[in-house]
Amino acid sequence: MKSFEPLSAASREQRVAELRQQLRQFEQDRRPVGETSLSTGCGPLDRLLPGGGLSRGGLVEWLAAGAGSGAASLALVAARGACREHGSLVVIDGRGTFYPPAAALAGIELEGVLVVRAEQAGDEAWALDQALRSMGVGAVFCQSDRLHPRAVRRLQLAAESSGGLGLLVRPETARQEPCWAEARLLVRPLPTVKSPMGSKGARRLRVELLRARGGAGGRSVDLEIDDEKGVVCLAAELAAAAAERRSGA
Amino acid sequence: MLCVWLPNWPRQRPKGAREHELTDREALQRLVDCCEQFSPTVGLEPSPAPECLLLDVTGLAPLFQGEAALVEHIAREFRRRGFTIRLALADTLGAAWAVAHYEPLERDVTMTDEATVLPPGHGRAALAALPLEALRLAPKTSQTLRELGLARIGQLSSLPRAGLAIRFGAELLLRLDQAAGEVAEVWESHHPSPEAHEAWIFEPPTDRHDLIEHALGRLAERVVGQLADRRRGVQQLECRMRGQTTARARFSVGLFRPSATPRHLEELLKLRLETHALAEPLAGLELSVTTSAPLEERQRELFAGAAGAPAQRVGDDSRALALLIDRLSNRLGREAVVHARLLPDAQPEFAWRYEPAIRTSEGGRRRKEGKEGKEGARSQESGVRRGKSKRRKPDKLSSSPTSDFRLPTLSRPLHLLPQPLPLAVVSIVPDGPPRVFTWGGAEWRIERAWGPERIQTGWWRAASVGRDYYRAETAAGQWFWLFRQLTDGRWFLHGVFE
Repeated sequence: MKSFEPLSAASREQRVAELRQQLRQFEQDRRPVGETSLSTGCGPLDRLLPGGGLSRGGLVEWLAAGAGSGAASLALVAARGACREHGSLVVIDGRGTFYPPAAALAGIELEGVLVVRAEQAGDEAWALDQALRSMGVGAVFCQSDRLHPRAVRRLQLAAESSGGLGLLVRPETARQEPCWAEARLLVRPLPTVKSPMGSKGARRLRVELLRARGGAGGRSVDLEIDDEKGVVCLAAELAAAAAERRSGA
Repeated sequence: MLCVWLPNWPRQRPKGAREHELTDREALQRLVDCCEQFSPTVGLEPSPAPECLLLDVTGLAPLFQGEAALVEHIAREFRRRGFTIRLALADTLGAAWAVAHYEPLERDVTMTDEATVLPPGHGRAALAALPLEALRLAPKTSQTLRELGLARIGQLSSLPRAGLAIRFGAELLLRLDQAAGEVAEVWESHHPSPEAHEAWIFEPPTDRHDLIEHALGRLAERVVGQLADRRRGVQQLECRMRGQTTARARFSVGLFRPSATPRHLEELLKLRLETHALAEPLAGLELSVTTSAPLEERQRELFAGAAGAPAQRVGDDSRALALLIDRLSNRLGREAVVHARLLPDAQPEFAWRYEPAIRTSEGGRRRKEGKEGKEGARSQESGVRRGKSKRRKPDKLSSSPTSDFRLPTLSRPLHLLPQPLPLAVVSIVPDGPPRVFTWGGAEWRIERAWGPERIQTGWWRAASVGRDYYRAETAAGQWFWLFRQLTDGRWFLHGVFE
């Protein structure tokens, strides 16, 4: 039991890095072989996520800070990115309020979207589980405020067993619950900056990584969604580019 | 042939709440279903607005101890359901129809208030005395015949046939011959005999789920076996459960794609059985395949063991998705597993429609196939186009097959309330943007608002709609979708930009 003897600061860091590496290897075993992470279509968001993007075989939780925060829009755009190469997108609509025209505006081809309307809480969790277990599904999107922590744990296991990808949009109150997902993100809206070009402003969000498996949380990034085009980009980058263009013109 | 006429059909329909949603023809078809207890071949009369049910009862009378008893059984069934009927039993469809509608004056005919039974071979004699309308002629033909002084069918048979055909067309002679049984008449039975059928009898009746599930599994194996010889798979299944009393329950299971895997069918049937409360022990189970389709040929992978190889995954994708759709649809209902389709309607709540992923009717499937064909062509086309124009604008939207029209350029919320919610809103100028509103027990102060987007439409629906939509942003950056009704200036919350 040599670990009892006190370690110097440098060797402790090294030790932690080693352990983290080992842990990652254990977790990798459960993943399907040869899978790379899927891009959300937005570089800054990919860099925020563990593994450089969304990865199959896990859940990503998007906690929405209050109503109308834009978390669901962001998650849906990310789901679109994940389904680009294969599989269709399954939307579990437990509240009966999903509005397909808005999804179409966000650049999602509705032909490839399967909407499942499950009004009962039990049916919702069951449909999520089934969709996560199916090989034909690219990503599962669900906004729900009635998922039990145990149900989330089960869903994560379902996703791990079959390589499914789930994007769950949940209220901020779920922050207190233990996190079973690959990553937990908190999405807060930011006030719109007055756009120099005209009346229309793009949606601005701050995305904070609260927890990630095998990595540290606490990082955050500011993003902008153009609701008309469904394009997400880094808020600061856009502002800089716009300023540049203005000065050039 | 036996003909049951429901005089004034649409008017004597029961006005129950559930019955109301059915069309007249559908309600009549329900009756056809319940007449299946008397004869295996039941249908509606071949007419655009049917009022009659047809039953082929050839050779069935001995089972009911005579024709009179059979007729009485049927009449009692309809009386129990509160219908007024006239029914007739005759040699041919034409004669039965005629006698059901017009009473014969013959002596040797068994007649009650609601039933007439023509003994075999008496059709021609009974018909002769009936008015011309009993022949199911076009109104114009019978009108002309009446003007010529012909009123009874018997008068026609004394006229030369060649002359009749020239003056009144082939229809008249055809109807005459059909009624007399010289020409066969084709009619469609409502429930075409199933493509494969298996039954299971529980001895003694049971309500144990494990036994019932076991029986379902064996039945599924057998029907799949029957179809396998023809290289076909199951597209739609119907399961009937027979209790100890006559009460029966049935459910049908539709599949997204034809399947010949008994295990998959068994699983779907079990899912449905779970949602079905058994009122009493089951005495029998019947499983019939109502629709089948040719199976797709599929080459098996030689090295199927390497799970997760990307190429293989893509190949199995659509199969796996079909299985998922079947499973979801069977537990949640066909209407709950849907594809969205955009509609060119300006009113936000009518701008899309959900279509079930599994379509049951033949017409629906054909329509879908046509659509897919067109889509394929179009996606190839757009693939060519995509290269040049993707940079400049979101081409994905404009080339997407669902949007044959322009989408609204203003953004829409991802979360639309089923009903607009009335709100108390403060706005500074009378027709200006909103400033403060209360919702969900909280007060929301609006910092910025975009709008108005005026939507005036729907005059062809019951109430026309005039709304000024605003996209409102609170101090914290939350977005809501509000509108002011133009008629009375009231405010509503219609969506949340989640």
